[in-house]
Order: sequence, then C-alpha cells, then structure tokens
Amino acid sequence: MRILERKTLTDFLENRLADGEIIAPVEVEGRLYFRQLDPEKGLAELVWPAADPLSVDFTVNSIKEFFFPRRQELYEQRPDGIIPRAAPDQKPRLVLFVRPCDARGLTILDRVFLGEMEDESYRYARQSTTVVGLHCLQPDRHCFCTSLGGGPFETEALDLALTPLEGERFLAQGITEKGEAVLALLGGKEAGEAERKALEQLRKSAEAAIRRTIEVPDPQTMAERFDSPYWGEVSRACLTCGICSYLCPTCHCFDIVDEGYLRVRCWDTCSSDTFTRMAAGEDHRRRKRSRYRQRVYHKFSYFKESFDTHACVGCGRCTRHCPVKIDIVEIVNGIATAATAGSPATPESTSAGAKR
Amino acid sequence: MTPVQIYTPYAARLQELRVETRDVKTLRLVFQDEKVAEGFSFRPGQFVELSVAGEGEATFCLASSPEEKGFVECSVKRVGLVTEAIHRLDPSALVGLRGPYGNSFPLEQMEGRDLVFVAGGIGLAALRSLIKVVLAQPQKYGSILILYGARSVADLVYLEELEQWGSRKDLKTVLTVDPGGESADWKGEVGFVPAVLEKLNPGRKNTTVITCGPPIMIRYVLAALDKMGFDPEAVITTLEMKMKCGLGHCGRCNVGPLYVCKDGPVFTYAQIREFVEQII
Repeated sequence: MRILERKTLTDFLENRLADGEIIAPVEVEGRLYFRQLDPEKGLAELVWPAADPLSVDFTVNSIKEFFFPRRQELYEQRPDGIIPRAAPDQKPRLVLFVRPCDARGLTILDRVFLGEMEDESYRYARQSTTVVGLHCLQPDRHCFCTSLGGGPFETEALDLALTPLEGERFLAQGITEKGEAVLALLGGKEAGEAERKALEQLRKSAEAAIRRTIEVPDPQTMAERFDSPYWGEVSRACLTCGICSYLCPTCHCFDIVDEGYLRVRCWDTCSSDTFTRMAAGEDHRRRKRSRYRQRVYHKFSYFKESFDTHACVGCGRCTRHCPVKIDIVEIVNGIATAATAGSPATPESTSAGAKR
Repeated sequence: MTPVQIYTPYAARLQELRVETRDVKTLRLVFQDEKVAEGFSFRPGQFVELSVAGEGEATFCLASSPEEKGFVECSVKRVGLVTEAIHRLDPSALVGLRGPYGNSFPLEQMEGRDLVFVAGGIGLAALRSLIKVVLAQPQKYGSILILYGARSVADLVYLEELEQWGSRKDLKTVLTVDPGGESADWKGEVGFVPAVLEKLNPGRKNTTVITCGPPIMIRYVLAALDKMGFDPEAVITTLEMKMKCGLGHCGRCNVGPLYVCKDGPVFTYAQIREFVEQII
C-alpha cells in the first residue's frame, strides 16, 4: 500500500492520456457521468473525489457502457454480401474512480458475456482496460451493497484501489498484477501503520453508513409469490421507461436492429412492451406487472440459480433515478409477506389485440 | 471496440422459394462459401437466425434433414416484417444465416420406442427435420404415428411429403383440419388436434410423443397427454420465443431459469411443466 500525492497521479494520467484512453467522472450539467476524457482538454474535465465525505457524488451512469456499448455496429449486410466491421485500433484504456459496486457489476456481466458463447468484443474491452477503483467513503441513502456480498471497500474486479485522504493525497492498493504494475510506475511512499489504521477506520464508517438492507427471499418463497397480486400493485406506477435497466450495472438485455444496411446491437429493457412480443402478436408478458416481475425474478431468482449470484450489486441507481420512485429494496423486501393467492384466473398469453 | 464476430452470419444464396400455402413458403438455401457448406452441420431441432439486408433478422428452425447435404431449408410463415421480406425475396437472393443454435431432439433416447408426432400448422416445420431422420431408418424405432392438423385444407404444408408418408406401410399418418376447414373432397379427420389425438388414443407404454404447433394447440395437447397418463419425461416439445442473439446473452427468451435459445428450444414436458402457463 502506498501514499500518492495528487500531483503524482496527475502526471501519470497526463502521460497515459497521450497514448491511451481514460474514462473518468466528468461533470455534465451539474451531475457526474463516466465519460471518455478528451485528450485535447487533458485532465481539465476530470472531477477529483474529495476526502470530505459530504462532497462525494455518484456518477449517473455505471461503467457498463464502456464494455457493453449502448449501441454497437455488428456488421453490414448488403443485398450482395455481408461485410464484417473492421476492428478499430483499441488503445489501452484506464477507467478511473470506479466504485466497488460498479466494478462488481463487471463480474456479473462477465458471467453472461464470457461464458460458453463468448462475446469477443466484451472480452477485448475487459482485457484492454485497467480498472482503477475508488473506495466509497460516503454511501448515500439508496445504497445497499453490503447486503448483496459487496461493500464500499471491496476490491473485486478492480486492478488498483484508491482511497482519498486529507491534503489531496490517496492511499493506493494494487489488487492485480496489472494494478501492481501501475503502482510501480506511480511510485509514492509506502504507507505506514497510521495510514492502515486510518483506512480501516474509513472502511468501518463507510460500511456503517449503509442503512439499507435488501432481504431476498428463499427460492421457495419466490416461487410461491410468482402469481401474487403483489406484482400488479408494486408495478402500477411504473412508466416502463427502462431507466432502471439502462443505468443498472448488471442489466444486459439487448436488441439487434437494422439501420439501413447496418446491423446494430443496442440496449433494451424487459420493461418494454415489445420485448417479448412475437411477429404474429403472441406475447407471454403482455402485462406491465409480468414485465416488472420478470425484472425482479431475473435478478433475484433466475440469475442466482444459473450463476450463483444475484444480478444486483446494490448501487441504488434504479431507485435514485426512477421518475416514479419505485424502490427495488422495498419491493424485494415485501415479497415474503405478499399474498400467495389471487393469481389471474386466465393466463395472459393470447393473440394480439386482446386486453392489456 | 473489436467486431462481434459471433453475430456475423454466413452468406447463403436462395436456390428455391417454394410456395407451401397462402402464407407459408419454404426456402432452400445454399451457402456461398464452399468451406462453410462443407463444414455446416446440425442436429434436428436446432434453429438459425435468418436475415435479409435492410430488413432484419429472425429465428427459424431448420426444417431439412441434416443428412441432406448441400443445402438447408427453413419454412417461413408470413406474419411480420422479416417474414414478409423473406416472402418477397427475388430468386437467387442473398440472405444471412447464422447458427445452428440450441439443443436438439434426443434421437438416441428415442431409439426402440414407439413415436407419436403431433404437429399443428407451421409447427410441422420444427418436426420435419426429425421426422426425415427417423423415416430414413425406421427400423431403429417401434411404431410411428404422425398426427398433423391445420386450420383448413389450404393451410396444410409439405403436401408432397404428407402424401409420401401417407402411402408408407411402416407408419401411420393422420391428417386433420379444424371444423369448417374441410373441403368437399377431404378424406382426413375433421377436428382439433388434441381431440383427434385423444380419439386415436395411442399406447402410453414405451412411447415418446413429440409435439409442436401454435401455443394454444401445444397447451391442449399437453393437457390431453396428461389426461391420457403419458409420462411428462417422454413428452417432448419445441418452443418458439422471441429471440435476438440465440446465444443466451440478450435476455429475451428467458423464462424461469431457462433460456429457450440455449437450454432449448427442445424441452420435455417435465422440464417446462411449472412454466407452461407462462409461456404457452
């Protein structure tokens, strides 16, 4: 563990920006977003985290889009042939000030995209990126990472972890070989017992600051509540706008569409009423409540069954940004006490144009 | 970002676009690249993503036999944008094809057993590949019954094959049309597929039932089989679901813990019993 002056880090980042890409928090209209830094502007746009916990702000987006892009051109299909898209020159990238929850989101995407059917572009993006984490000093009222196996000082999927200290300094911890290599370049002085103690203190107070707990019911309870009228009640306010999916570090559903002769992959959401609708009109999730339920069950039941983890890192974005204040923690915590009976008498899968 | 090669299709040339009914056509496709043509293999029950330039991509089962070399066939019912574009394809047009994806029918487990195929409408396309493989070596199996129904006489697909199957002594083929769908000279059954199935009352012992059709038909066929006491482990169906990637990534065909594209599309009734209300 080393102590770095901000100046040391600045010099390193400026060098890095000359021959690589840096993705970091940038202020846009008063809010923080992860953006690729413009080399022309240097580090001018970068928003540094402060040691003052009260000044810490969260990025609106997660880092998902830099590994699984919102829109990705797959290939061109013309009437006379198929033209694969040439691979652009991917420079080594560095993602800076990534919170542990967002980094953990990568481990969940890994399970999907690096499985048996590997998505090469995702793998390449992962391999060419160094993830520099930022320990989370002050979680906000929507955070609940600790009840899902994460924590404000966790280091999963990070290469290097930084903790802001007083006096424009950082405590830096190499996690992977890649991170150790960066740390070797950075130099800095070895941290002493005082800094280690300070780090431990910060960790404890950050963990204590997380007040929310999500309690995912056991599989049996989940199964028993599947047909509960609860899903109609809790999803009533939902606008099906999909912001929860788009901002979620783990939601990975997508569409493949044609833009002229270009075939493009773009993010999609299971809340959309076209998500499962087939060409002839059949749709087994015609109702909003069944689509909302799908989101909850995919995250907290099916994904766990398939990949031994919930598809949620407790970052709180879906609640923080929901225009109608739908709260995932409240909804999941309410499942256990929801009624089991009262399922709709008729199955909802019927032909097109039927009642919605 | 590096290109996503897993989504790049093979180019395939349309060799024949056969009219089956007023809204079903069968495409016979030949891969443009000879190496691809030689290397492409699949098992009955698997599916592909077919695409038309500027129109999009959609999921279809492979309806030809893997033993027929040099081409593949898919049957397409005109219901939406992509299928409409496929129906309008010019002779010798170029399409995209990627796959094969998904699991397949458990042929080995079917050996030595009596087989009952129950199909409705375009659902026969999903069983045709398997039926062709089975009928190439019928001695491997016990008795074979094919029950096929359509809305009307004009909606029956694969007429030539239906006739061939009907004339064979080593299997029984029963055709039915929905009430009101019969023509003056119709010699088959009149009635919905599940009802005709109950009437035929095939033996349950050592029998595997393989069924595919419109969701409503599958639902009532499964209920009829339940009523007749068939073992859900020996009832096999293949599901249709909206899909985009075919690889278990895009999330669209997820139902319960299953992805229809990678865990299916072929399932036993036992596997899907608890979700059946949700999906069909």
